[in-house]
This record gives sequence, C-alpha cells and structure tokens, in this order.
Amino acid sequence: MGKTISEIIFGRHCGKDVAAGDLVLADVDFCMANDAKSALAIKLFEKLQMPVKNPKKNAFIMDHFVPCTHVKNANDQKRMRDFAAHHKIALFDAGQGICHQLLLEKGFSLPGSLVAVGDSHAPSAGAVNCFAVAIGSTETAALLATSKLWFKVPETIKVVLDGSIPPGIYGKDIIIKLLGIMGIEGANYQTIEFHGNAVSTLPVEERITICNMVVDVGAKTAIMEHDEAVAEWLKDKASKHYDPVYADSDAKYVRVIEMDMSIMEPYVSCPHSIDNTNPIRKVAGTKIQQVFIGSCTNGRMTDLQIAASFLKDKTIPASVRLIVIPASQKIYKEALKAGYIETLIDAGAQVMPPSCGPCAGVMTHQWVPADGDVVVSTSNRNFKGRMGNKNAEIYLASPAVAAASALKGALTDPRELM
Amino acid sequence: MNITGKAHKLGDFINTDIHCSGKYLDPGASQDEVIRRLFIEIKPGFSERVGKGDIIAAGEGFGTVSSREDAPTLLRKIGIQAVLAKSFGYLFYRNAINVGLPLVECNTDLINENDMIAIDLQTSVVTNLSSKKRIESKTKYSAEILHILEDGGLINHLTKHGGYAI
Repeated sequence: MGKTISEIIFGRHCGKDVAAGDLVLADVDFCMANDAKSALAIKLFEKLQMPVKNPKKNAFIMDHFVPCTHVKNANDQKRMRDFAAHHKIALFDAGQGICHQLLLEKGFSLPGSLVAVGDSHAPSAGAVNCFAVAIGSTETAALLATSKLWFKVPETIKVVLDGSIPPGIYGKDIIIKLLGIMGIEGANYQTIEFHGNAVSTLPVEERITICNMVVDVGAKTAIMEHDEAVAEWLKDKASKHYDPVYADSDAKYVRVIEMDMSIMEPYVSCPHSIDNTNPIRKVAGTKIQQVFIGSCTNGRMTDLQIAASFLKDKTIPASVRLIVIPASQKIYKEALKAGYIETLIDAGAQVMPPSCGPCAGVMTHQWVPADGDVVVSTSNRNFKGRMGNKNAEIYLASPAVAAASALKGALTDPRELM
Repeated sequence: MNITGKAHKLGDFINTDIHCSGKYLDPGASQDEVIRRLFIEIKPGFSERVGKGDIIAAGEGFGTVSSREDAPTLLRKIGIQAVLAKSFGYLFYRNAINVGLPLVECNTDLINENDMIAIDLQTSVVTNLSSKKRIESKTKYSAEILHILEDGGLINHLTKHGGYAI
C-alpha cells in the first residue's frame, strides 16, 4: 500500500514504517514558541529540571504583543530574552516578524522536515513541503528537553486543484471556498494534502496562504509537494540540505475533494465564522469602516504588491481606516524599496511595524473596531470579538478584495477595478 | 484507569475562546478571575457548580480553535476529571492528554445533567450509572497514551522517568 506525505515524513522521523493511526515517538527537527505561549512553556520546562537537548533546534519569536502594551507581557518577553540567552537558543525580538513567516524566511521550515510550532497557524509551512504542526506549552517544554514528541500519524484528505486560475482570483479565495466546503470540523485530526495542476501555477506565497488557514477546519496540518518554484523560493533561505517528500501514487486517502479553478470567483468568509463563506457578489455593496491588510495569512510581498496595484494614485474615502502590516522586517524593507509602502501611505494607509497586529484581538490593543463597525481583514479568523469588539463584524478576504473594498468604502469585487 | 463522576452537560462547538475568555480580560487578570469566567457566555457560574472529580459531557467539536493550553489546564484545576464529547478539536485533544485530562469520544446524548458516569479508559467503556446504559466509545487509547495519562500528563511523565518511557 502506498503512503501519503504525512506517513512518509513520520516514518522518516521515527525510523520505521508507519501508517495512519499509528502512535509514534518522533524526532522533531525544529520547535518554536512565540510570546503568547513561551512564559508557560518556560515555567513547565523549569519544572522538568532537564537541560535544553538541542539549542539549535529551538527558537523564540515575539510577534503577538508587539508593540508591547502591558507590563505582564513586557515581563514575559523579558523572560524569553533571558531564557534564550541563557540556553543559547535563537531569539527574534519584537518587530522582526510574525513567527510563521520567520520560520520560512530563516530556513527553519524545510521540505521533508517535521516542525512543531506553538501557534495554531503552523500549517503555513506546508507550502514548502514541511510537516508543521501546532503544539501547546507543555509540548514546547517537552521538546526543549527531549526534541521528541508523541504523535498519532494522521489520515489524509486529498484536495485536487485543477484548471487555470482566472485573473483576480488568489490563494485566499481558494482556501476560503474550501473552508466553506469542509466546514469547521471537516478535517478533524487529518492532514490536507494539496495536489493538482493549479498548485504549480500559484506563487509560493499564495500557497502559504492556502496552507495557513486549514487549522480552522480542524486539520492537523496542510502539505503540498515540492517543486521548482519552492526550490527557487528557498534558494536564499535554506542553509541546510533538505530532502523533499512526494506522495506515493497509490497512497490511501480518506476523502478526495476536487475543485475546478476555472469557475472560481472571489470569496469571503462572512461574520462570525470562517466557514460562513460566500462569493463576493452576494455581499458586495456592504458598507465598511476598517480594512486590515497583513497577518501570517496575507502580509507578504505579493499581498502588498496586489494591494498597491489597486491603490496606486488613488485615495481611500475618509470613512475608511486602512491598516497595513508587513509580515516581517525583510518584507517591510523590500516593500519600501519596491515603492508599495509609499503607494499605500499616499492612498491613506497606516503602516505598522511587523507583528500579528489587530488579528490577535484585544490582547494587543491595536485598532479595536467600534460597535457596529464592519471590518474587511486579510487575516484568518472572524469569530465574534476576534479583533476586540463583539459588536463588530469581520469579513475575511484576499488582499485584492480588501484593497478594492477600502477604495470603494464597501465590499467590492476586485475584478470590477482591474 | 477507572473514573467515576457526576456529569455537567455542555453543547456543540464550544471553542477555546468560549472555554476561557481570559484573552478578552486585562492581561493582568488573575487565574481566579479567568476560572470564574469559564464558559461564562453559555453557562455562567459553571466553575462554582463543579465539584472535585466531576466530568463534562459535551456535544460536537469541544475545544476547537486555538492551541491555548489554559483550556484543559483550568478544567483540571477546577476538579474536572474527564471530558466526554461527540468529538474534540485536535489541539485541545493533544493538550488535554499532555496535561493529564482524559477525553473520550462517545454519544453524549445518552447522558443527562447530573447523571453519574463511569469510564474505563483501558477498555474505553462508558457506563451511565444513572440510566444503567452502556455507551459505546470511539476512543481507543494506546498503552503509551494511557501511560502518560496515568502519570498525570507529559511533564509529570518526563520528570518521573527522566525522559520518555513510552
């Protein structure tokens, strides 16, 4: 019987032949904790009274409480700095970028590797053929001490994206439509493996967007096959040799979902659930007050480029606040050089330093919407109160929908402006 | 591992934001304050009604969404001994095992508020002692996971054995 990518990767990391459903103790290649989870992980690790097993296999990243607005969080961040210095593990301080972006940029998440990340949007790295899984603080503590973790090898759902993607359609539209098809628990404990000829036509950054959001249909992770575009994208990032994994042609899948890209249209997740999806035409015209372009889902160069292309030499109406947050310092600098940041500022955007920003909600006290506000966000969650106000509504959308809507002051099909 | 306890019913799709809304409190909020607000939107006063050794019987998708470990940790802290649900969010599922809180997937429609429930984790048999009905379970714990649960979670397991003993 052939194997899925997940079965092959777990087999490699525990040194034996495994199949979905097996319980394994696997060697984890890299473990990351951010400032929302590290304080507890450090406390639990200290309870163990064990040394850090492999300092080079761990990193701490500050992205949630940036800029820091509360003494407790400032003290937690100080604890991270002290711990990282003492145990000689890599530290990426506030403002350097969002953890999922930095894991990819710094070459920690590589094809064929097994990476454990203390944040639910870990699956982002599946775009480069990395099995990246979200973990809790106890697991982070255990990984600091042992570099090993128990896993149940997941079953896999195969999603086939075939056909040519029409202009104005992006990775975000594809994943939003898929989330609607699958529903909140549609992939519980399962890996989503993406295949099909449309995947290779997508820029790597849009593949990251697709993988990023699978956690909210319950998936353990998402993964795609390695190809030339991934190799090219990793060229200036990977400092180690890597060994990509491809699914066997007779691999066993629990479900196969086929999506025809040629009939795709822009999609949005409507309030207050990510699987409450609609084509933009059904909600177009809804007045909006705030737009957020950024997050680990859509804060990369292609996203800023798309937003800038809609807003070049234009001005957003006074009724709209537009917030832009590049996902990392590297992206920020490249976007400055490319002129995107100036274009966005000229159009009326407020540009903030790299962080999770308003996506993380009131915990960061950034851009909390007012009662009754309608927000368009390129981030990944729109639960009631997500951005800090239960009386606001959040629509999740692509950077194109976000930029077009900012310009018109209402939900807008970006293809009308292309 | 055998567990017996009184059931508290909760509904479907109770995500970890509903579990503990500490996120929406001042960052300096005490753990007691977060505990007082457990499930506040759907069952105010929940933590005061729970006694040591009680269990939760929930519906579909218990603990979906974030990898917030406070969710299972605080349930243990208020005395919850096990959680039964029709299904669980996977991050919550892993976190619960790792903090030593057993979860069992079964048809919780066969359980009413305050029923006495017995759970045998080795055989995964759930018995409603109040209605004298046996409830089939989908959960089958491996010897390794039972070992972690018996040790009281992953940290206790690693401390006790000086590393993994599975």
